[in-house]
Amino acid sequence: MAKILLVEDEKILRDAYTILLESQDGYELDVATNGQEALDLCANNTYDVILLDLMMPVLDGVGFLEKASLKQRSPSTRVVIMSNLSSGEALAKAIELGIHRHAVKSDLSSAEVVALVQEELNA
Amino acid sequence: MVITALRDDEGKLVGFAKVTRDLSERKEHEEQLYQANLKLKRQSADLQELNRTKDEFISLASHQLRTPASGVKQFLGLLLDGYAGELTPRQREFLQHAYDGNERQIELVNDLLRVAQLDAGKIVLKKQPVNINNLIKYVTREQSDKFKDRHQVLALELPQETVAASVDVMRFRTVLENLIDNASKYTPEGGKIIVRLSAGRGRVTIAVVDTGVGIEKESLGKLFIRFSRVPNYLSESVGGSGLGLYWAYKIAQLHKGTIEVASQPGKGSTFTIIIPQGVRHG
Repeated sequence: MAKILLVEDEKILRDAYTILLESQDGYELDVATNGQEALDLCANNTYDVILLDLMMPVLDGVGFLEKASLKQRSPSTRVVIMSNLSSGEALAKAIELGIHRHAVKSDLSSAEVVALVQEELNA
Repeated sequence: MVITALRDDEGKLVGFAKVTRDLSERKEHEEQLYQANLKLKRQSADLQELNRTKDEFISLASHQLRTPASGVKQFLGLLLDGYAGELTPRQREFLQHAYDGNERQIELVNDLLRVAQLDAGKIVLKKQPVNINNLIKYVTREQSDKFKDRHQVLALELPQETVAASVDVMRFRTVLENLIDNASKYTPEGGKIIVRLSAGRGRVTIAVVDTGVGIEKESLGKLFIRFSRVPNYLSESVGGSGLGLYWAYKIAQLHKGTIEVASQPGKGSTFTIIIPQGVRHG
C-alpha cells in the first residue's frame, strides 16, 4: 500500500482530491488541512508521497518543510508542491528546501493528478 | 544692482550711479515653475505606485480565482471520468460543455497573470541557443489535432540548413503557439496555414500565413494592445482574452525583435516575427 499525505486548506479541493485518491487501488490516504496538522501526522507516519499546498493558515507549506526536516528524517518521501501560484518567493523557498516537483493545480485534470502521484511512487 | 563711480574731467569722484533691475517678477516665475515641476514629479511617482499596485492586485486576484476554478475542474473531471457512476450521453454532453467553459476561464486567468507579470517588468528572459527548425516542428506537432478537427492544412516551409537563434524557449514557444492558434481560429474550416522560416543578415524571420478572414486596415493598429478583439464574422465564436497578441508582441520586443502584420480582408493575414539571431549561424 502506498501512503499518501494530502495537505490542502481549501475544502473544495481537499474533497475532490480525497475522492480521487481514495478511489485508487493501493493508495492509503491521510489528509491535513494545514502545515501544523501535516507536521503532527508526519511525527507518527512515514509517507511515500506528500502533496503539499503552499498558501495555508496556521503553518504554510514553506513552514512545514522547514520544520519537518524530511530530507533528514525520511529521505525517501517524495514531496510535490500543489499550488495555484506559478511563481514567487514561496515556491522559490520550497524549491530551495528540497522538493521533488511542483505543479499548478488549475493545470491538472483528475487523471493527471493520479498520473503524477503514480510517477512519484515509481521514482 | 550695479554701482558705478562718476568722475569729472579731472578724475575727481563726484558721485555714484546706481542701476538696479527688478528681479522679483522673474523670481516669482522661477518659483512657480519649480513648484509645478515638483507637482509633476509627485504625480508621476503616484502613477508608478498605482501601476505597481494594479499589477499586484491582478496577480493576487488571478491566484485567488484559480482556486475555485481548480475545484470545478476536479469535480467535473470526476463526473466525466465516471467516479460518480455511469453517465447518459446527454449528461456527458452537458458536463463537457461546463468543463470546457471552466477551462476557458482558467486560460483567461492564466493570460491575465502573465500580462500582469509582463507589465510589472517581472519577466526576465532566459535565452539559450535553440534550433528554430525543431521548435517550429514541435509547436506545430502539438497543434496538429486542432488543425485536423478544423480540416485545415498546416504546411511548413523550413530551410534545409538549421537555423539557430538565441531565445527564451518557454516564452518564445508561447509566441509561436499564439500566432499559429490565431491563424487557425480566424481561418474558416478547410483553409490553409503556412509557417515559413528564414534567416539572413543576423536576423531570423518566422512568417505565419493564413487564408482567413483578414483584418481591416483601420484595425491593424489596434491588434497588439491589451484586450483588443477585432470584430469580424468569426470573432463571436472565437474564444480568447484579447491578451495573446499583446503578450506575443511584448515577448518579441524583449528579444529585441518585433512582430509585423500584413493583411487583406477576405483573403488572409501574415504575422511575421523578426528577431536578432544572437548566435553564430550553425
